[in-house]
Amino acid sequence: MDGGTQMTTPMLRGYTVKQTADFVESSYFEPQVRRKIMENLPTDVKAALPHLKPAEWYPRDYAMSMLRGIANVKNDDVGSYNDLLAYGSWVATEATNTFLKLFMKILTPTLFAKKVPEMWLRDHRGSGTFEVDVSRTDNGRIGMRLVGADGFDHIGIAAIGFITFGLNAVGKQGVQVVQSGWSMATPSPHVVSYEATWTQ
Amino acid sequence: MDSVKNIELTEVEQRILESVADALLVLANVGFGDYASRLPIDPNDNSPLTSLFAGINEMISALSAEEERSRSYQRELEEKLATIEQQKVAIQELSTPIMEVWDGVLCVPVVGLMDTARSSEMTSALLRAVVENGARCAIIDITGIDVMDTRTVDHFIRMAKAIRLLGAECVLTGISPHIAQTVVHMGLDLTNVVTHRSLRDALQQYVSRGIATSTAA
Amino acid sequence: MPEQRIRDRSDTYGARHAVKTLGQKIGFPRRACDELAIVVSELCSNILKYGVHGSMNIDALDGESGIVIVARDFGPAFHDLTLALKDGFDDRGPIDPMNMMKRGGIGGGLGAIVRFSHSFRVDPLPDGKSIEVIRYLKRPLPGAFGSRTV
Repeated sequence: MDGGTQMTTPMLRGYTVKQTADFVESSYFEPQVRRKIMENLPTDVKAALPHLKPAEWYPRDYAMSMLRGIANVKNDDVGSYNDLLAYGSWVATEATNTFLKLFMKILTPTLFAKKVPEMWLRDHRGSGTFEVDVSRTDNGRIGMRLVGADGFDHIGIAAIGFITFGLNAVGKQGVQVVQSGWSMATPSPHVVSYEATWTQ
Repeated sequence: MDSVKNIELTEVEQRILESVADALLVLANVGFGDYASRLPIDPNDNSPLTSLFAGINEMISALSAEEERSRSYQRELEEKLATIEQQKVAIQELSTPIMEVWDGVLCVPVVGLMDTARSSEMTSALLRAVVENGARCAIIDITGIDVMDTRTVDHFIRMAKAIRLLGAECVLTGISPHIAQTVVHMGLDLTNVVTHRSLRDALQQYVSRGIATSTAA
Repeated sequence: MPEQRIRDRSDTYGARHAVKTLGQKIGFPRRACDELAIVVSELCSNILKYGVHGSMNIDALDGESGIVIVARDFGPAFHDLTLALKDGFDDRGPIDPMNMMKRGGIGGGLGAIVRFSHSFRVDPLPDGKSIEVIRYLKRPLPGAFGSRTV
């Protein structure tokens, strides 16, 4: 697969797809809701799910179709936001294998800010970049942006779970993240901005 | 843990921390099964970390090779299992071969164990064959069989009667002394059964009879 | 001897071989070994007819005075064991000759087991039953040629 192909078909990692499916099938949603989301997935996604290899790259749509399913359960800005947030936090905690846990353990705020873009690219190709405004990692706030993930519906909210988890891991408490850009009407704007604050 | 995060680090410490963080991220990929990942090594850097990273890369290569070995072993096992399945089917089919050794003369050489399941299978197969081949004679050779339960012997005799009813002769060859004793002791009616000492004798009898009949015709 | 899993017909061959080997080792004459093989074969057929796997243990008795075979199946208990043991019958009554062929047996399996052994015993299990068969080395079989009251 050459770089050109990767640019045109956004990809993400098998473990991301699997964890998204695991969340849908977890006890967060009622059984009939879970079934409805899984049944409405495109046939190629359904076929691929049992055979996912964690470290391999798959079309972004495999996870996105499930994200859409999650957002459409309540289909409103508040309800869908909460469900997507829950998804993001769930994956962030579940997704950490031993090495990621160790990584979080040694991370400092500076290093975290430095590594966030790299970590995004580790899991996503063709879904833009995650930028951190390093000039402001002080006074209990940090600014971040997800730029260029057009078409990746709802990832803007899912990412909040990871941001919160990461900030907690580097020792921040009382973390709050506010986003702007996403809404059910505009699920994948060109830029999603985040303002993260903490009390200590 | 908080102590590391809150104190100021020297530049060297900062660099080491970053190298370790990078290494852990690469290992996280290995943890997910991506054995193509390797830790970045700067050949000009003689620090202990470089040696450590080189060692870890070696280990990842070894893991990768092991994984490939395990995968090919699994493939081999699956092929062998498929072969075993095929052979099972073959064994089933071969267990009661019914051969047409001459025009209208069927021959069933029975080897192994004659239990009730086998005796039932043989009966259905043989009766079917007698009808399909328009056989005039079915020779069942039980030279290899020394033990048969009385019920099975009884069933054999009934099978012979059924063959007679279909218009063919039923010949039993190779009856062992022990089975002969059983038959006698059971007081079975053997009017439907012709016996010969050996398969050879029986074939001689029926094939030559067959030749005589066809030359006469 | 380790427990044998009886899942399909080919497992029968393994069990038969095992009992013949053990029989020879203990000192049973060849004919007795063949009879034991038929016992094992009939026990396996019984297990398999429920379409669920079962298991079998084949061991020597204390002092190698004989062989004990325990077969476990996951089918229903015998509705009436006395009936089941009569040749031409199953555990509910006489087998309709029309059904004889379909059954894949001749209604004599249990009879054969009993005729070729010294002791035969059925115990219920939570989800099936266990059949224990014993054959002694030094004792002759009673009623060797078929007449044997159950």
